[in-house]
Amino acid sequence: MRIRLKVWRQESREAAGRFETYDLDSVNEHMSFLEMLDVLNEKLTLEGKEPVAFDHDCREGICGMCGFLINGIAHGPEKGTTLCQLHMRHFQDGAELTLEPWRAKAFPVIKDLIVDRSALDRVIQAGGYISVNTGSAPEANIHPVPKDTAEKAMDAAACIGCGACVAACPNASAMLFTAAKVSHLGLMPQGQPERMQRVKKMIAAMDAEGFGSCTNHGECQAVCPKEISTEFIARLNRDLIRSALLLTRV
Amino acid sequence: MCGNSPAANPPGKPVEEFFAEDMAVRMIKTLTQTTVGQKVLMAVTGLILFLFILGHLSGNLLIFAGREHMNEYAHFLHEHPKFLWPARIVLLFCFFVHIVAAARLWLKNRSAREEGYTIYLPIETTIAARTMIYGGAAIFFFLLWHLLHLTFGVVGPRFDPNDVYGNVVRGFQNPAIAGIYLVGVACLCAHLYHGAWSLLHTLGLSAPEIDCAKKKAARILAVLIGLGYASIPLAVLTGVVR
Repeated sequence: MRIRLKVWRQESREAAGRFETYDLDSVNEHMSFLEMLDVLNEKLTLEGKEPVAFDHDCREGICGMCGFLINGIAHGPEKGTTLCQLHMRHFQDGAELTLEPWRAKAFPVIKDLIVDRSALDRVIQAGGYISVNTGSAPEANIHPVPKDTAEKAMDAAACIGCGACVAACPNASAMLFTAAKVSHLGLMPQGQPERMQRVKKMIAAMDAEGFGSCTNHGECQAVCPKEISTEFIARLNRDLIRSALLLTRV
Repeated sequence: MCGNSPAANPPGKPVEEFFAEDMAVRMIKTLTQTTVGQKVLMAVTGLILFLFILGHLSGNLLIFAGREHMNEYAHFLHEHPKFLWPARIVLLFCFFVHIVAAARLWLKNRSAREEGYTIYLPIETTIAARTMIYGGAAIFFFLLWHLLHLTFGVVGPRFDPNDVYGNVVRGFQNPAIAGIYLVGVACLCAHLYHGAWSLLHTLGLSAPEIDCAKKKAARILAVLIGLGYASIPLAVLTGVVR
């Protein structure tokens, strides 16, 4: 199949970016989107041009490294899919696709389609640790966890930190990411001792990184490759309200 | 106190201050200095204003019961300043908090994406949700006009403080004035279409079992409120209420 790509090219953080158009004539419909970009980069290299820089690692949808917008939708038009798991058969022959990096003040472009997402790492760092004994493995049934709670915690823990929620949010808010990270520990017994501190620290870190605030548009949930629910944002709000109302120091 | 080691708190992050003071200071700081806290302030004041809008509508619809009932109700309110003034002060305070928090969050949100997308295709959001700040500003100016018209009697046709019914009818018989009200009510309706369920979500009311019903119920209520308010100028324009 034939594909025309309009790709955001930017040499460095400071450089001004621009779109460049590339035509590919023999794209296999079974290729993933990133494999199609590999073919483009091979072609560019043979022509003596600079290949397009994009983030990727596992290529099986679990690492959270890949991600950019295809025609205005983070991770492309398929629901619940990372770019590496998006196949070319979902596009029309002769399609014109515009590729643009995540755009947020907290995510500066490093090169082409790669952005610096270390702001998300700092939000996680601010959450600190959980109090568990290290050493020999604990007895498996020492903390009984109801099945539903374990499932919900796992739903939140499915977050791979790709940053699509920030990219798709009209406010560039990192609320879905922060909410997922706060919730997967907050739901488990092991996460209780530091639960009230954690929510405050992570929200403070999120605000300090320059992300916007949540206005309940729901765009994050719509593009999330792990389909994490905005229900966790309400849970984060509940935790913050509770921590503010506690009589004791937290 | 555990959890405050330098490794857990990267330098330069203002998190220590949330844990240092007594409950009142901590609560005020959480509400005014975090984005989520400011959203909670907006949700609580929004809920109070929403309840006022419902009460105000129920009073206004007395216009369909006739001149005597409407004027009697207005007279009743003015007879009880002990209740009227505290209510007015609470509402003014809510407006103030709601607007200040909205402005602060809007500025933060705008600065969070300095360079916009060339192509951006929203999937889930509504026009109502994306125009909250503009609709809110329009409602503010509409409210000023509404107070000048029917509370202070400064703008519009002849004003009689003892005949609320007559003031409303004389005002809405002018199509331009009725038009201003219809536009204002449309802005209010759109604002509530998103705001009424959004405030519940911000206050933490969410579960997969209720989320769909919550959204639908709030949206239906918003449309009904809009239709209720719009019915008054439309009834006067069409001559149903004279």
